[in-house]
Amino acid sequence: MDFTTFVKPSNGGASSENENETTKKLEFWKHVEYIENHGKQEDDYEYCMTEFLRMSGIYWGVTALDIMGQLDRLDRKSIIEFVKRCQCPNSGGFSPCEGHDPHMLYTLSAVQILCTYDALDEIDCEAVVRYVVGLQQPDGSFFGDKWGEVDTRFSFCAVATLTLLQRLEGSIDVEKAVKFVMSCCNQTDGGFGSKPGAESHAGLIYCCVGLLSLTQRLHLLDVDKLGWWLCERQLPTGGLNGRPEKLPDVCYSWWVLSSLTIMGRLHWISSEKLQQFILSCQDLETGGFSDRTGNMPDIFHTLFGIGGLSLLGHSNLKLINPTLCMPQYIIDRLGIKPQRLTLA
Amino acid sequence: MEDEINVEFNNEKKVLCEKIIRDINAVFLKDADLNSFEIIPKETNCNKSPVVHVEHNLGLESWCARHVYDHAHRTLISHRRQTTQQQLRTLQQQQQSDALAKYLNVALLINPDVTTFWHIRRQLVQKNRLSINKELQFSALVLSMKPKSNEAFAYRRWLYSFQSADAIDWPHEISICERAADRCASNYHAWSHRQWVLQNAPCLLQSELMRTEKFIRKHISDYSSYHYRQVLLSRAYELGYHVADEQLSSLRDLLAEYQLAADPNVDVDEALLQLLLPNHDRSSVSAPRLRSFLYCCNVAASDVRLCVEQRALYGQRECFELHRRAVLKFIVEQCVRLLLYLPPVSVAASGGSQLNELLPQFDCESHPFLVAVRRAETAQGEKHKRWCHIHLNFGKERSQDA
Repeated sequence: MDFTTFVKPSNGGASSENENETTKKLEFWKHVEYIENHGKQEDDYEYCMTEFLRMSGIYWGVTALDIMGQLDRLDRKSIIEFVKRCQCPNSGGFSPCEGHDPHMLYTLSAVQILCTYDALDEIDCEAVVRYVVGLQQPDGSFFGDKWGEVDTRFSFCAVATLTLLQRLEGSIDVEKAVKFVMSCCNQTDGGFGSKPGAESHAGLIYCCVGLLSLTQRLHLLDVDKLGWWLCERQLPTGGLNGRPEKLPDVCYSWWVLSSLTIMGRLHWISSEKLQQFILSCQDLETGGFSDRTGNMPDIFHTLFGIGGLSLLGHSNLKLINPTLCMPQYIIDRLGIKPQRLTLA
Repeated sequence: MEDEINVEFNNEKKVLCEKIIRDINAVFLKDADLNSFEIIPKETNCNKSPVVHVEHNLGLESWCARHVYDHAHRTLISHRRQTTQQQLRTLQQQQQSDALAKYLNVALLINPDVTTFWHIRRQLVQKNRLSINKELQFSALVLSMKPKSNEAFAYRRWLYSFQSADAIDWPHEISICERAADRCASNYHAWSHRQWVLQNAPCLLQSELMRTEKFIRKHISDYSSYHYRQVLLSRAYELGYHVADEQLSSLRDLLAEYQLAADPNVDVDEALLQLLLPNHDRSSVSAPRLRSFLYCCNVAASDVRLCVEQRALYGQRECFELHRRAVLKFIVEQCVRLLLYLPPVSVAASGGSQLNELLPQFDCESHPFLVAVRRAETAQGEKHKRWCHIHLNFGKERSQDA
């Protein structure tokens, strides 16, 4: 029996104790400390359990700190050494951590980290290109790794990786990649799922809109339909969910917001209320952000909380690029110009 | 001295973990019908085995989970950090690969998200060290613990690739999806896997229509199930599905609500087609397609009524509203496509005209059903009117509606 069916509608899940507080502020230095200390306790159970995504964990930490202007708090050299050790000599792809198998997800994270540190020359970029190209299927979709799972997330990872390596031209079949992504568009709501026919999901919408942005094909979107659906994600408490009837989650503050920003429709969301929600997800004791008010923080939600606040124009944060989820100055330095629709 | 104590402590820990791993695997060997696993919240160690086995249910007390996982994890990662040749030797050798499987069983039950561990299992299957049927059972066990595990579902799809479609128990696979969806609301991966099953076993369409209707009645806020049903309906029409001697009463009732009376002097099918496809050259469409059109529109109409009833029973909910719009749109879209002599839209189609591109080409005024829908729907509040404008292109002001 699924007891969540009896949850009251449109509650948003916020605890009442926070509603009386005055405008919360960003606990800037607490978050810096939280990220810096992440993983420092060697016997941390959570850290061990999440080793399988370590590369992404590092990318989330590096990006969040850079947006906060505090990247020098991390040891650049040891991070680059770690990334290098994770490149698989056979396939060219990157593992999340030594001893784990390479995968498209961690290949993107590795390239994102090295772009931020301006250290792409430390790895074999050609091998990465070969790895990504080798995973494209005849219908334009991408496997995550050699074992054959298809998902639009992997399409985004492929295109983003190649864009950052300045190798999108003449590598994969871009036309087919776009065609596959469009086959995952649901006519009922203009959204995108993981595979053709799959339910529209804000995270996957970000991946598909991001891919269209990187391939300059945003005209293929039905902006009215999709914009509407994305705005419906905002709940009365101000937080955003990822699909109908779900609870709000800080990570959707990123995926919904960045999609709307790329589509030139950021103003369709109430930013004031969203900002309040994101700030209510801060852990005032340890620093970091949790998925929703009152829960335990983690590095994933910390990046997306910071990222969301940056998109909303928070003063203490550097600009973040909505397509690649990296500091805008890095994207500028690389000369990359993802497409963005004008404000409407 | 302290180092010695630490080493001894670590050795004791290791020995204990090895014992627990052995105990867990002993349950696997003993119980061929093991069907659920859970971590039992118990923070204190009462100096007895943390492995609990009761009637095909396996439990592991939480106090030891982190230590056991840490130990199994380290062992597996050390294996993976060897050279490819060394790893292959381990996989080829019966005893060593059996040992590996024991660690994999425990590690994946505690942490099903570790993709690499599933890969090692795949390699063991390829080398015939693990049997496909036992692996299907193992992944079902993981799903009992974590119904949302995409790794477990993906593994099942990979395992089935070695079997021919007619040898696979597809209804059983549906029940795995249903169990996972029942336990975890809006279970994305369970419903996505269910679509994969349906693609491979379109014969299950009828039973799926029945099962999903029951499911959405019960799980009122689980939008994944409503979405699946919408896909099911499109698929049914795409396949030309219909049922003989269908009374089509829901469709008749829906049209009656829009103040459209079916001509009592002709048979049911003909009366409905006259209302939905007026002045249409029927000879251009096959009879089976028209029967499927009526059958599917009838299912859609019964869903419209279901949403209205559910709203009366439970109050306003996003799911009811969204599903009602989706199925109503289905009816409108299929009418328009037939009237424009277009083929039905494939679920996986990209390109091709969307409904709101087709509608302007169309003279709605001569179509009593579309006029009635527009009149009724645009009078249901601002938000719904905006939706109609975006999706059904009904926002255009007409002098008759003033």
